[in-house]
Amino acid sequence: MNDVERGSGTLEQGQIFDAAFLEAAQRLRLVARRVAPRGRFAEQKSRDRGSGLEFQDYRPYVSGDDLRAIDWTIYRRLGRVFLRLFEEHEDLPMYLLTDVSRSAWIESPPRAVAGLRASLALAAISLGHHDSVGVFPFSDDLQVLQRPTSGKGRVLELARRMARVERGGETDIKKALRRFRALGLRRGLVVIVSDFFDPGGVDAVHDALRGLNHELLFVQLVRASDRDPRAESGDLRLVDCETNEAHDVSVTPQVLERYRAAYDRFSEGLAALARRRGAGLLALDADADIVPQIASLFENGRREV
Amino acid sequence: MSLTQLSPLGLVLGLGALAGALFLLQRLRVRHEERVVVTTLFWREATEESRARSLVERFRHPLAYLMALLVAGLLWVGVARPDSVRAGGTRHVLLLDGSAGMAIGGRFERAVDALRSELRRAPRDRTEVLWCGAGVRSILGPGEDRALLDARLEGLAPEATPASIERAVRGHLLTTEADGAPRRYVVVGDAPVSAALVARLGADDSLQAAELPEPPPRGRGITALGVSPAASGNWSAVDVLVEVRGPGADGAQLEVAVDGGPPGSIGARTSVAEDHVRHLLRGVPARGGLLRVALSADELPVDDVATIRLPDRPPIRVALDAGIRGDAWDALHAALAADGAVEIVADPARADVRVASGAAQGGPTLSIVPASEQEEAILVGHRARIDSRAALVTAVGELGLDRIDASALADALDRPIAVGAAPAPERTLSLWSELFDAERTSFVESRAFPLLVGRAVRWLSGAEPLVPYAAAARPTPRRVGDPAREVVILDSAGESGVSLVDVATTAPRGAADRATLDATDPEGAGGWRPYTWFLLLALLALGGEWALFQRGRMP
Repeated sequence: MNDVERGSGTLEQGQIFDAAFLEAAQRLRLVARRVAPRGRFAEQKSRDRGSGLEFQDYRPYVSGDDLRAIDWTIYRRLGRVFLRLFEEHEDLPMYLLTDVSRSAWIESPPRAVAGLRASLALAAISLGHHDSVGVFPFSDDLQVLQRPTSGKGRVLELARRMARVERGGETDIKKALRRFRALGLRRGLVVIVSDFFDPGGVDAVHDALRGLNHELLFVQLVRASDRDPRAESGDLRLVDCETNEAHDVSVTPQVLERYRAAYDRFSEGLAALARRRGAGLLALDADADIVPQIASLFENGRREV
Repeated sequence: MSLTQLSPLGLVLGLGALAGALFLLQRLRVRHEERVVVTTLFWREATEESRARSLVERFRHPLAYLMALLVAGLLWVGVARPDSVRAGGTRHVLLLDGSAGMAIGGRFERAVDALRSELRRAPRDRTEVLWCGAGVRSILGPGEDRALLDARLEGLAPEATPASIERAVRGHLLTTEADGAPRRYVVVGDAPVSAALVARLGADDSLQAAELPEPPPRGRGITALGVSPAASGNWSAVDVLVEVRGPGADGAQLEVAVDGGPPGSIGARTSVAEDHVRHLLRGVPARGGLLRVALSADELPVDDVATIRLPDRPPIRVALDAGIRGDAWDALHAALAADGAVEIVADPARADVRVASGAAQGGPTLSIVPASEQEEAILVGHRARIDSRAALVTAVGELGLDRIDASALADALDRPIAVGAAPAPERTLSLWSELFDAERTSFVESRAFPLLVGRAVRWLSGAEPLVPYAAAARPTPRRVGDPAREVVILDSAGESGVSLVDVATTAPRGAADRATLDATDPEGAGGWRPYTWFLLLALLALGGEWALFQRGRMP
């Protein structure tokens, strides 16, 4: 192996998280277009009308409504009972599904580092805005590293937990998401941080997302060498780090050209899937600093996903 | 550059072996370097597309293989120089020149090296080597192991003989004519080849010269040595002609000795040209001595000395029988006494020739017989091994019978005059006694009579006529029926007769001769041979392969 290394199973905390990183993350604001009902009050707008501070609308009273919401002034003026509706602010449950499969660990620096940093950054941002965050590393199975929790003080605890993440096996998004659905978590924002190099390709990702009733954000961890593997030349036996399948390749410019075409098809397929699902798609360069990349994604400190 | 010459089958087998070896090498190249990668997802897609265009499933580089095969094939054809289909059965005849001209410096050693080189390139089963010295003989037959050549070359050296290459080629052409196979002659040496010989070659034959360095300049030498009866008429003396040719011939000093002593003759020198001088030695005593003529040695010493065994010509002893009738005896005695080559002896036992009356009694005899006992007026008795007709034809000239006025004799004797020949134990000559009758004929008074008597005595004594002139590679004048050698060779002792090294046959090949040889080379020695083009094409293919590699079209 030249530039590909088999990484260690765990990371030191300092490798994924530092004060400057958190400070930068605090300036970001993740805004969801929609949040699910029955959540805690927080700074995220909800479709539900509730008992918030900002008046939104009236509606006729029906049996069972909270009597405290009746607008008695209108009743006195019109003789009819209406309820005052206020915009309800709820927290945004964020479920971070971070790819820790074997493929995320073999390069230098490991792609898992970038993935965990991105996850921690997003978690810090969300926790800083009183949203709940759950962390679920996955490879061929799903781990529950942190059930949904909230509070700014959780960031360090979350960082410590993330530093103890162990290297997983083969990427199996389908199985991981099936296990996630089985957790029965309320509807939220599912952020999948991965290279999406499932042996089944984009089709496997598409199949895995069936039945997942959450908002989606794809964070694709990429490298320049993913599309342009110039370092590979000659007659090579390429061994898949996850499946251990060997594939003999004689690298020629024609083969490289076809490789790039295949990669482009994969990327376009992933983008098309995101569009169909109304999901966001963020591509982060695993070789570059994560914070500046995330900062550039959140224009003016806010970004809707 | 040439490795060997192959038959078409050999060429095809060689190409097949190359193709197989390259194929295996290509397969060996599929020993891939192992790399662990994040995913093989995209590599699979990329190579599955390319595999559909592969020659075979696991054969990844058909273009590289074809290019390598093209280059290797061109090199193979260029280096192997296979025989064409036409030349599949070509006989290769290597002619090693062993003539005197090859004795200059190290010419012969270089010729032997060239011979070995030619032999390596020629197919063993169809190649023979002929030694062309004084005689022509095979020193390596077709199919014989080449290692034998060294043993057979042991002791071989240029001989003091003119070139025999042409003789060898002519002989080989005759002996292999019925074969029908093309013949390729390679002259390994400096012997010249005449255009006439080239013209005799078949359409499929070729005559080439092995590559040798330019020969050094050749000096002057003795090119002709001849002996003839003395112009003075002295029976016991001869005249000797010595011819010297070559650069500096005019100023060359000639030393002449007979048995180590002075020749006892008067020399005359004639300069024909600056490089051509004739020396004539008159009246050299013909006593069987060894005449040696020598020039100061130059680059080719072998032609600076020539020797000849002079004839031994003592007086012919003749016994004149007293029984011969008076007029005849007087005429015969007068004729014999006037001949300086004849010594009249009284004792018949000491005589070389007898002149007697009646039929011959034994020994060479000039018989005088009456016409009643012999049908022919002149009867030649010859040895039984010679045909009577041929003997008669020879005798007419040698005995001077053609000088006799037969018509006058017939008129005088009133009967036909006939000449006949018959086998006899010894040479005899029988004449009618009536021819000596002074009252009836004037035969004894004619000019033909002393000539007939003198020649008859010489002929009866068995004295061999002198070779009037001899030159190398030229037919030696000889009598009909005499099986003399065509080429007279000088050996170191001079015992074989006359030795002459002729300029025309031993001089190094000139430019015109080389052109003649080159013209017979079917491959065109003057320009680029086809195999050179193959090598050039191989280089171009290599350049093309490099260009494809640079453009990324080949791994």
